[in-house]
Amino acid sequence: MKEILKKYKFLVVVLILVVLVAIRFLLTDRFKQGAEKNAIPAFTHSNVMQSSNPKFMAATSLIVYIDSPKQRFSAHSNILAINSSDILTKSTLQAIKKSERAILVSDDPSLSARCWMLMAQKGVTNHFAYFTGDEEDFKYQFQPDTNSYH
Amino acid sequence: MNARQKISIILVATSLMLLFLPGIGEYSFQEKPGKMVQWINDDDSFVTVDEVAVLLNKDEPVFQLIDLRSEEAFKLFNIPGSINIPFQQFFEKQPETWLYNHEIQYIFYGNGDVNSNYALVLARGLGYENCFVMKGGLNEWFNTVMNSKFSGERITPRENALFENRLKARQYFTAINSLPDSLKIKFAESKRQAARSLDGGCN
Repeated sequence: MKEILKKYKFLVVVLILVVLVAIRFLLTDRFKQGAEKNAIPAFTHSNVMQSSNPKFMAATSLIVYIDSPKQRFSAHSNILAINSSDILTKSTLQAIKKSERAILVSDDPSLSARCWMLMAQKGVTNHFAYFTGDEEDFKYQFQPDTNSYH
Repeated sequence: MNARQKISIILVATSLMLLFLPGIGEYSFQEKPGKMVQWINDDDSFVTVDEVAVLLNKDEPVFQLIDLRSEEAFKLFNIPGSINIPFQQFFEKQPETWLYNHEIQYIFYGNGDVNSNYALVLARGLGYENCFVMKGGLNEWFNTVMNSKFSGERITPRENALFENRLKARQYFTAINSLPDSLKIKFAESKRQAARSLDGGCN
């Protein structure tokens, strides 16, 4: 045994390294590397899906209701209802990966945004967030007081 | 095993390691998914506009507001004391250079709730736990603070305190955003000096 170890010690070291790397690679309880790259659809808004989009109601889309939203798309045949605490469970991720695209629907834009980003960082790439599209529009007008510095 | 074989094996092993290690200079989430999911629906990660108004009126260095809107929108008006990190430039601006102080609260805001919550997940995932979101963004700030009105005959002490807080924050917001850029810093400094002298400090 000693003789073998001495003769192939480099091979043993390589084997250990490979095993360590494989363990790290196969660990599921971690986020995907490259947070910036994972977040690109949020920066470009290409992760937003509106109900007027034909892809939204397509049979290949999976509608994911998060925390029982009021707005329902009952005409859709492919629906998954989950709690926000279950967004990263194995079954949820598997269901999303199986579908062509998944659309996250919730009543709270904050929750949809958080869920979308967490899934993106977990390595999901075929998911969208259902927004009306005007969430980040400024809805008021600021009137400066031009007398304040005279 | 000859030297050439040994070197080859070392090179192959190193390549394998590099293949799976995070890229140099690449940001990656530090937190575990389980921990991140725990606070996803947690109200403690939100700060209300009234709480921001209190912080603004007190003007103590315990918080930093981060405006995630575009540079142009920021120049038109912003909540006094904010710094501008356009959401699209979150990583370009290197989070470690503007989220470096672990002693204070960083409060993100945009016009609504979407970009600020994306940014919050990114910041917390990178390990900056002292980050929060101003719930409702600037739309809620205008709705609650800038457009606050009291209509009624009687006012309770609690309502009065709330109204006073909003009024002070509104006056400060309007005054500083009505000034030319060259006078904004002087105005903020004079406000601090006035507050110090009211507290019995030195000018």
